[in-house]
Amino acid sequence: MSAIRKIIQRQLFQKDDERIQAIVNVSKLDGKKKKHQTLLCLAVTIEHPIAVRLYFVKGEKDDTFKKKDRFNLREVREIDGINPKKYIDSTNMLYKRLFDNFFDTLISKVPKAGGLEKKSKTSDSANTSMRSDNQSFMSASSEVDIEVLPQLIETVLAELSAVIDAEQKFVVRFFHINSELLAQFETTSTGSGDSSSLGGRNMEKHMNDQVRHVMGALFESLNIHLDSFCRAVCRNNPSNVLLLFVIMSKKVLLPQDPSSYFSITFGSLVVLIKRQFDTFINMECAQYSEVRIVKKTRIGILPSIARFASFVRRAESIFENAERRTDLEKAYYNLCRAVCDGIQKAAANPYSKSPSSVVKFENFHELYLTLSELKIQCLDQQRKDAKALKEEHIDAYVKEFMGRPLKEIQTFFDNVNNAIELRGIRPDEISYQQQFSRIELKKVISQHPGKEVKKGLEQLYKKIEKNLVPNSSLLQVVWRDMQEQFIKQISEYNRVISTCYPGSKIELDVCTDNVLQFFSEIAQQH
Amino acid sequence: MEKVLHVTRSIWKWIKLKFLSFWYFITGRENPHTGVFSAEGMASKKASGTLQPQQQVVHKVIMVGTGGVGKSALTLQFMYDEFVEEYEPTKADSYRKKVVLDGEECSIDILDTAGQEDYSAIRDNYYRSGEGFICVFSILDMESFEATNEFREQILRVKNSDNSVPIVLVGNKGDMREQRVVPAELCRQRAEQWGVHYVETSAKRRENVDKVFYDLMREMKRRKGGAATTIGIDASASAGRKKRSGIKKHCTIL
Repeated sequence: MSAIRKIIQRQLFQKDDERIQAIVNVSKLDGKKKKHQTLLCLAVTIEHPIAVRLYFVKGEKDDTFKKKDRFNLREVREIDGINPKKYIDSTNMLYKRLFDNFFDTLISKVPKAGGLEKKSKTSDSANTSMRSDNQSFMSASSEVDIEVLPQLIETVLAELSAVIDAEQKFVVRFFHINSELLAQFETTSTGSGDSSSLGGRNMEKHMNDQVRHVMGALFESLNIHLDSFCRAVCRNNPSNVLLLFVIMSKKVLLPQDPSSYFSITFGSLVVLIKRQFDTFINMECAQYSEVRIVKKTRIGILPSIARFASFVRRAESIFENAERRTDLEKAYYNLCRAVCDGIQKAAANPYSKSPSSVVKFENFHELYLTLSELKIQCLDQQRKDAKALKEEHIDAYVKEFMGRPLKEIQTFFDNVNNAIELRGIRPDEISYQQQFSRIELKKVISQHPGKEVKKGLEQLYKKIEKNLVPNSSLLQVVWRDMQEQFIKQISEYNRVISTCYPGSKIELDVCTDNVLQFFSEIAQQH
Repeated sequence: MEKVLHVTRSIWKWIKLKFLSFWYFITGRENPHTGVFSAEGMASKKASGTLQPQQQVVHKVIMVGTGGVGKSALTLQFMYDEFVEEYEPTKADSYRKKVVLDGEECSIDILDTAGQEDYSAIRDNYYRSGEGFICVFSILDMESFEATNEFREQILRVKNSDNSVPIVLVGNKGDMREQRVVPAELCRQRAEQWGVHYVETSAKRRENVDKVFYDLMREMKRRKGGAATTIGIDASASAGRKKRSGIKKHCTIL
């Protein structure tokens, strides 16, 4: 520009003894580039009498310039906006073009995730790309994002607020919108100080309807751009939305000028981000609770638990001391519930090789350990629940499988108990029932000689080993319960025999000491 | 004839695969062929899945001692830096944590056990599975101190009188030292007699908690490493058992 200024000064003004004071490039609103530029120059005469004049200067073919129109300063008047519609229509386009450029460059600066995700980037919808990268979604680029994204946001906000404020000032003057009224509101609002600025109603009070109308029309395209910016930030790494959310939540609390149209733009950005945040959480939830098993497998530990843990870690590192924890905590609840749903679904899955109680206690145990490690205060109840559920399902599993080594005896005594409890037969009359006679009892007991019981227990141990994930740390926990329950059961049978068959001298082939001996021997086998 | 040829070929392939995965398991290298062979069927996938869940070393630690001496408190303090005031008897709980031991990442499996057990034989199994033991008593309770001998005897019995089983003797509740009943001298004597370390801890104040676990893990590591070098083939001592069960698993796949 200064070069052009020098040229024009030499070519056009030197000989008239004038000096250029200011020079601006003038372009048409429709944005079409004209072949030759038009310039507006403010020139002052060097000698007395001093005169100030405005010139339109046009560029010619051979890089020369020509003065077109000339105005004396006193002829120049300030004119008002007469037809807002015309102004809006043309300026609107100008801004659209401006924002197109601005956001294009901005989005190109959004950090890209590593090479793997490039494939998914080509697919347009954000949905598919998020689904395609299952595990690595929070990995690599996160640290870069933490550095770059806040800067990007700052740029967006700073640029927008500058542009919008300047435009608003101009609009107010140009269309003679009652500025005293505005000023009055301004002082009262800044006097009262802080936040509470975002509510739409508040804004309406502070800002003239007319201003809102004009500005709204002028910046019509802004919302779409903001939206696509949010999407771009989240596309490669959906969890970035957390970062956006936190940054914006912090800004919400900063004092705002409610009379500025910028606060409206800002508000809609916050809403957009919150919406993205919700979508992201819902999608995570859906993934946790969705269990797809296509062939018969041992389910083991569901990957959703580790994924949930890495989500929480990342969220915590981003949120740290952020103000909007309640939103995050709500998200945690939902996610945690989704994990539990996933566990229940997996346990009920017909393709599962392991008993459903095993799937449940293994996963609830893992969830319990994970939550204990994460130490998220608001999830403490969930942690306790997970522990309780784990214990409940270990119990269920033990009850279901413990009876196996003494199968017939168990059925026999179950029937005896039923007869006593449901049919009301007195215990001392049990042995007079045909199916519970002493002979029957002896027969059943003879089916389970000590050797068989020991074998049954060994098989049971192997069965548990097979049901649990390899090298499971729960094996010892489950087996301990199994042993305890088994011994309890034996003494329970002995109690029933002594009450229902007194003096019969019938005994189980194995006593507690035998069983304990078996347990010790099993322990020595591995 | 063609059918026979086909069968022999597939058997040969299978055997080759097994040998390969076995070799990679022994050498501890990542199996580069899993991807290539996985198309050949479920079997190979499963085999590699069970054989190399993680090459990371796992140290199995068992907490022993009478009821109420603070086994769970020590465990929870070590695991999660938390101290729970209310007392709730444990049946059995397992925990796992990744730790960095002398610059090497490994896992510790802690089995927190019941202080009161109606039948001590029930303990045999988990004693057998343990590689290191933390024998806890309360310095405020002479009986709990006396009981440590029984615990150790059972451990040794289950471990076939292997005197070098890593054990740490821990006197807990060190935050109430002024009310102590078990003299420090006595504790040290016992540890010396056992040939183990004695550490006085406070689970409540997190005193010496890490020390107990890390000292024990170091000892376990030394023991595992030592066994390997004397035999010469890396890790074959500890892998011996796994190998056997590994082969067993292969058979069940058939």
